[in-house]
Amino acid sequence: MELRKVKFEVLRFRPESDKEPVFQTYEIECMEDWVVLDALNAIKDDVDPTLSHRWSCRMGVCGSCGMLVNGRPVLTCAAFVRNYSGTIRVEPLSNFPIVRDLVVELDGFVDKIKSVKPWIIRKIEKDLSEGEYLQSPEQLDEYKQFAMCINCALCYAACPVLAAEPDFVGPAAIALGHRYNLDSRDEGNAARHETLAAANGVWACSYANECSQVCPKHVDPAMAINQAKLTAALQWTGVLPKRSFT
Amino acid sequence: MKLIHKLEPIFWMLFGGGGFVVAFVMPALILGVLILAPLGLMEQGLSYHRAHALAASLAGKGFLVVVLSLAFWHAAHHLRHFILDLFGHSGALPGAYFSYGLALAGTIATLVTVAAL
Amino acid sequence: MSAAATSHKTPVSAARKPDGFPLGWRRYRSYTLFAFTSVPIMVSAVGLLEGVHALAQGEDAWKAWLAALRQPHWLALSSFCLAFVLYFAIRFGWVGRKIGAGRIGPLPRPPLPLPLLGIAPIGGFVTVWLVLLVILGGVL
Repeated sequence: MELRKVKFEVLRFRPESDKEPVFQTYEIECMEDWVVLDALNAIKDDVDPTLSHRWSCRMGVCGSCGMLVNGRPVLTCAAFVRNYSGTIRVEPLSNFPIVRDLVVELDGFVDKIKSVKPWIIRKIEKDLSEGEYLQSPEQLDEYKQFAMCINCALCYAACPVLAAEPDFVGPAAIALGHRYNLDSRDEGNAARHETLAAANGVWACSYANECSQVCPKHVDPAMAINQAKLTAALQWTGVLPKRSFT
Repeated sequence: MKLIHKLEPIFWMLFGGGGFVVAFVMPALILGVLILAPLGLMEQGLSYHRAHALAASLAGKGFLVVVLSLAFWHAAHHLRHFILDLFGHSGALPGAYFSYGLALAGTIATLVTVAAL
Repeated sequence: MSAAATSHKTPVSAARKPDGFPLGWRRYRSYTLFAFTSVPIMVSAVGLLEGVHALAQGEDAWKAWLAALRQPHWLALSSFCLAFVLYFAIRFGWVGRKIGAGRIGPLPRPPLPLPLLGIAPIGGFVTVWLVLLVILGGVL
């Protein structure tokens, strides 16, 4: 297999010694089928053990390895080195404070996900003896796309609104809230309304569509958010009540 | 909660509804009235008498008030987000007041001008 | 990203803006241009309002206003506004297609493929442009 020497410009930040982030360049011999994550692991294993980065499944399902590669938010386990020419720039996700090197602080992101109550809410839970909640394939299709989120936060890194308003609830959270509002088993529309229909909720979105452009799971949060806007507007005018409809 | 945040759904509906009105109507109005008519190519359709008859009719006045006001409110909401993108968080509230202030001024100017027809 | 969450943690470096925002990236550039269309739309509305005002003042004012707009710099501004309003209309219809692509409350998803949900409004816009031009032109 062909080996190719590739230069990586990696953003470093060590809070104990750096006032500001700095770039450090590494040259790594990459195999033809390597992804950027392989190169980062090679840097850490063989060249510079002080490099910090998050990763886990290396197959695009855990959402851990999101970073900016040449400025674009990607999963580094899915970014093939052969698709880039010249020096490859690797940085931590934008719109998040940097803890260390390529690791960002995700507490705010996790709080926002929790704030939309991403679980089935029922007025009265069915007793186990009454059996499962039944759902037809058509009912599943109504929300399934929005359920594919792996919480990788690439959409948050891409969103221009978050750059200006860090309190914006954000694409993943709103899409997830909308996913539950569309779920035929759920009765929690009213419970999520305060978070979703807030000034920092759906209304802060300016429909840049960048979230949907970078989503590795094709969730299309922009679609969810803007459908949620129309729903919230109809609810505000009283045309639709604030409840679920299935 | 600030009033401006309570009114978010209204601003968005004006943006969306106004956007449709702008998309349907403005291109033809701009081409016809602001470009072709000054070039002398609308002497039949936009002679003073016909233009005045169209604009001063009840339907015409209603059309002008609705189209121009919605254009102002649509543009204002978009401008507010544009200012936020350019200037960041510190521009959020001033940008909102400025943009919607422009829309309010535009709406008042529209009502006054159309009433004089 | 609240202050309370970070108060007990190690110091962090400030969050950075998305790369190339607002005018660097090809995609952010088109989004920024789209947001900018708000300015030509407002300018066009003011221009049309000026025309209504001239109309209200009588035939001489109307003719004088049209003559003034004939000057190259005003024609250039009008053309600039027209270009941006056209860009706005097409992008608005296209980008807005996603809003109609799902269930809203009890209203089911329209049984149309996503691209058609965008092409249909744009087709509607073009139709109305032609109808309006015919009306303004005095053909009808």
